[in-house]
Parts: sequence; structure tokens; C-alpha cells
Amino acid sequence: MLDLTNLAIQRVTVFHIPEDQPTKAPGIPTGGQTLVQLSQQGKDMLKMRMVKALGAQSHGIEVSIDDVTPPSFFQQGAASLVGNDAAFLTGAGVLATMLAKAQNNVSLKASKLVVVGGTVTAHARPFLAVVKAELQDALSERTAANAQAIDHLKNIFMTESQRLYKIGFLQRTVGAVTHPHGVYDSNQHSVHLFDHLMTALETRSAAHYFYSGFLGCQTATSARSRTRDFYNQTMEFINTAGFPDVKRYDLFDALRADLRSNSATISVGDFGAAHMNVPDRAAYTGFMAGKMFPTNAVAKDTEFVKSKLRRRRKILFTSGITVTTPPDDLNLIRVVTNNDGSSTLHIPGTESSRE
Amino acid sequence: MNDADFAAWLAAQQPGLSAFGKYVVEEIKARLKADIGDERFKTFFKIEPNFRPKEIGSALSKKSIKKYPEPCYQMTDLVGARFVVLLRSDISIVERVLINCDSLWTSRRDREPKAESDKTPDAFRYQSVHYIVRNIADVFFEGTFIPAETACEVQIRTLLQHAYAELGHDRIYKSGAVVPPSVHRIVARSMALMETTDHLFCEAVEELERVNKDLAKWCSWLDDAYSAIGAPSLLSLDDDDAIKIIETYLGILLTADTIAVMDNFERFAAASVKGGAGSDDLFGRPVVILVYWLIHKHPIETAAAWPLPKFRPDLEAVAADLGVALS
Repeated sequence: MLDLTNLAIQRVTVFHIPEDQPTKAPGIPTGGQTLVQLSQQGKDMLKMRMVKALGAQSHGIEVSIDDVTPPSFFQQGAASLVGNDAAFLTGAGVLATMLAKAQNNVSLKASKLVVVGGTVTAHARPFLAVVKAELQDALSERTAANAQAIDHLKNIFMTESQRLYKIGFLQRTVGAVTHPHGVYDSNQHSVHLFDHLMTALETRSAAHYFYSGFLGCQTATSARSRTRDFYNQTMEFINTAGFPDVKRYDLFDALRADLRSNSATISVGDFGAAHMNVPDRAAYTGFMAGKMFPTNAVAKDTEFVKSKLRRRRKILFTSGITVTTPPDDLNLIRVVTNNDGSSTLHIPGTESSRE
Repeated sequence: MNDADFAAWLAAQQPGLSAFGKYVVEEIKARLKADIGDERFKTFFKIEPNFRPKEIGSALSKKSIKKYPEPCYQMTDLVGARFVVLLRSDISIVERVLINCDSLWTSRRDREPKAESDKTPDAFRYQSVHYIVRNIADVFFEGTFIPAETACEVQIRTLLQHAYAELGHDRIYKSGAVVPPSVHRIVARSMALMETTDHLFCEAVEELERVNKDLAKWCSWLDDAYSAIGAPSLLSLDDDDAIKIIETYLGILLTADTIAVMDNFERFAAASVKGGAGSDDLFGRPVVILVYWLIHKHPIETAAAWPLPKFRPDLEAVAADLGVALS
């Protein structure tokens, strides 16, 4: 699980990533020659954006490191975690060029790449975050010579509400790494991703160039087992939390519906917020954390649970009456058609509630 | 003593009896005010304490019923004083003050509801604490002579007991008319209800006092803990925002202990807060120490119930220090 406590930002540099060149060749990044002197408020804001995107109860997801060959994002990033400022700036420059290359032919507008180095957790593990931020316009009020004026601000980025940014967060997960022949081990690191395009299936492919092309990571490897764990553990919570039957069935249906939906990620926070009141949400979050399920989002892949997500079977009658049955027990209900045009239903069990 | 002699004696005693009634009321009020403080005293009595000498006709009728051989001494309610308070627990405060006036008068408990209910636990009747006080020495009060051994009956009641007495005791038991059993039953039920209500009032007040004590305890601990970081912009008890935060989460705080709260703060936050000491935002206030614990241990409940929209950005900054994304 990603632990972003004690996140301290130590080094920051910024690149301008232009559009592709007229020749269709990748744009050539500029900037990043020196470290940015960020005020404390600026650091605080950057930290808040990163935690909000990736921290506990966020939509950030863990991705698996796929491309470990030099000069991949992983190898370059891992080498830049430590070292002096000059090495950090050189490494960041390489990453900026890699991003420009990864987004070649994707028809993207110019953007900023912020490369952030620092430490995180009580163990002060080094991290490197790459933040690709799209540029926006905004207005700002100014008072000059006792008159109010509104300025048009161009090229601002990382505003709170739009979330037009993507973050790749590479973190060392062990105290001492081994890097024979200068090659780092992906098992001693983790990468987390936030991309506002990743949350919906429709826009997921648009995010591909960033997490796959640039970061060299994949979302699928753990997604199937994570999704199965999410289903099984959430079911266990619903069954053991002492909910009344009606609420229990509602939550079962909500779980199946959320897993069938077009959302590309699932998270404990979202499921709780959508379907439970505050005390139940807190209990659910605590239960899932106890099961070591990630507190942020995970990529959704329902391959292992698809048989459980079948819709409830519906039986419609000519009078407009509908009866539904659990999808797993297709033969539970027996319908006998009578000569007078009515039907007799044989249902195991007695009535427990009606709405 | 025949009725005419008694009536003549009583008429002559009226100024002294009234003066003694007033003397008792004023003494108890003054000492109580010194005991509980001006602020509480302002609302302590629910009906202004008063006194009343017994009417001569009423005294004569009581004398003939009770057949007192020495009515001048034996009739102890020739002047009465009454104190009406809110709760049973307030009664004992008045009792304590009355008993402690032992340099002015002797006091003897005449009626005591607890002893009466112990004797007949299944009955619900008129309840009031009665004392008979007699001045020890001759007294001149406001120019009137009060001979030693003058008696005054002091009644101390709750507001609910007073309401019952007004209806049940005076209108039903003292009316002399025949009262059907059904009315006795209804009145007994109302007394039972009043006793229950009084009990619940006392419980509510105790709970409130406990909460206020918790609140005060947290405030003073937070001020102490914060002083290691810097001077707080406001002491917590004077800080309406801090009190609102603590009150909002008092239920959750029952599970908090100061060692865990401080440990959490030192591990995740002390450095961040140092920069904010002296500011007017959340970081300049001692309550921030508690907010770190709340967000770390109970992020969902804390975010959902956060009472101060103006400090929402500060709350998110706290969450960022703890690696938590608030929705």
C-alpha cells in the first residue's frame, strides 16, 4: 500500500513540453536547467495535489513496472532518486525527452513536466514524481491605483478543480537497494499512477501513452486478482457487518453494478461513499485496510469474477408484475401457469421484506 | 390557651413572625450567593424565595384539629419560607447553607422525601424538604424585635415538586372535599412521572457537566502541548473554533488518549505546524494537534462532520501531511 506520510519535497525542476514539431518529430523540451526555488506555500500546494491524487482514499492506482531495461523510465528514475542536484537535473532532462517521445503523434497541446524529488514515510524512502500538467487560462483580480482590474492569466497549471494532470510516482520500497552493473531491481520499487483519464473505460486508451509509453508500466497484471479480492472482501464485509437483509441485498446489487460499470477503477473509498452512511463507510474502510486491500484505487478487471456479476434473473408476467431471482440460483423459483390465466409461484423461504 | 387568647397573641406576634421569615430568606440567599457565585445564583431559584406568616383563621383551625396544649410553641409553621430550585441536587445545596447557619438558628429536619419514600417505596406522594429553624438569641431585624426560639418552617422543593404541591397537595388533600380514588391514582401517577423526569433531568445535567469537563480537559492539555511549538494565537477555551471542533468530535475523542495524540503529532506533523505557529489559521491554534489525530485515525468521520468550512483548506493540508486524500 502506498504510504505518503511525511512526504517532504526536496528538489523540483520544470520543463516545457511543446507540441510535436512541424516535421512530426517529437517536440524538444525546454527548461529544467536549474532547480526551482519553490516557496513553502508552493511546496505545500504541490504536496497537497500529489497526496490528493495518490494518497489513501484517492483515485491513484498502483501499476506494475513492465519495462525495466535501460534507458526506461524506471531505470532512469531509480538512478535519479539519489545523487547530487546536477545528476538529478540531468536525469530529469532525460525523462522530459522520453515524455516528448512517448506523446509523439498523439496530437497533444503543449504542457509542463514537473519533476519532483524528495522523501516519504517515517523511513524517509526516496521518491521521484513526474507530473505532467496541462496548461489552463484563469482570471485574477488586482487592485492598482485604487481601481480594480482583472488580469487574464495564461499557462497556469495544477489548479485544484480541473485536475488536468497526470502523476507517475516512483518510490523505493526497501532501505538498501541492489543495483549490479547499474541496473535497478523493480521489486525494490513501486510505481503509482494518477491520471484523470484512467477512471473511465472510455478515456482509458487516451492515457495509454503516459503510463505505458512513458512510464513503461502496465495496469493489468494485478488488476484481475485485486478486483477479485475487492469483490470477495466486500462481500465478506456486507455479510458480517450486521446489516438488515434489505440493506444487505441492496449492497450486493450495488457491488455487482459497480463492478459491471464503465468505470476503469474501483476503490474502497468510492464504493463506501456511494452506498454507505458515514459510520458504515468508516467500518468498511477499516475492514478493508485490515485485509491489506489498497486504500487508494485499483484498476478494474472483472475476468475472475465475471460469473458472479450476472444480473438478477427477471421473470415478467403479462400483468406487468416482475419477479427477480438471484443470478446464481436460476432454478429456485417454479412458475405454474393456471387455466384461468393466473400463475402460481413456488418460492423457497418466507417473505422477509417488501418495498 | 383558649382560641381568643391565642388569636390575640398571634396578632401581636405578626410583625416579629414576618420579620423572622424575611430574616431567614435574606440570610440564606446571601450565604448561598457567596457559596455558588453570582453567575449561578442569578438563575438558581426558579421562583423568587418568599415568606408568609400563617393567617390567624388557618392557625385557629389547625389548633383545633391538632389539639396543641402549647400552640404558641408547638405550631412551627406560624411563618413559612419557601425556596424553589430546578433539580433535586440543588435542594441539597440550600440545605447545606441552611444547616451551616448554626450560629443564628437551630435547625431540625421536619420532612425528608428520601426517608418517606424508604418507608413507603411503592407510594408517590407530595415531596418537599421541610426544616424548622428557631433563632438562638433575640434579634432586632430591620427595627423589629424577634424573640429567641421563634420558629419558621422552611420548605425546599424542586420546580416539579412545587407544581405537584400546587395541584395535588393544596387543591386535593387540603380541600377537605371527598376525593375519589381515581383522582388519587392520577395524582400518584403524575408524581411518579415527575420523579422520573427529575431523575432524567439530573442525569442530563451530569452528562453535560461531564462533557464540559472533557472539553475543558482537552483545551488545557492542548494549550500545554502546543506551548512546546510556539505561543498559541488564542487559548483553546477562548477559541470558539477550537471548542466547535472538540464538541463535534467528543464522541470519537472518548477513544483518544493524550499520549497517542501527542505521539501521532510528533511523528507526522510537528515540523509542519512549527511554521504556522502564531498564525490565525488552524496551524496557529493548539487544537490542530487533535485534528492531526482525528484525520489519521478517523479520516472519513472527521471529513464528513468537519464543522468549519473556512478551515477546510487547512484540514486538507493536515490530511496531506498524513498521506490521506480527502474527498
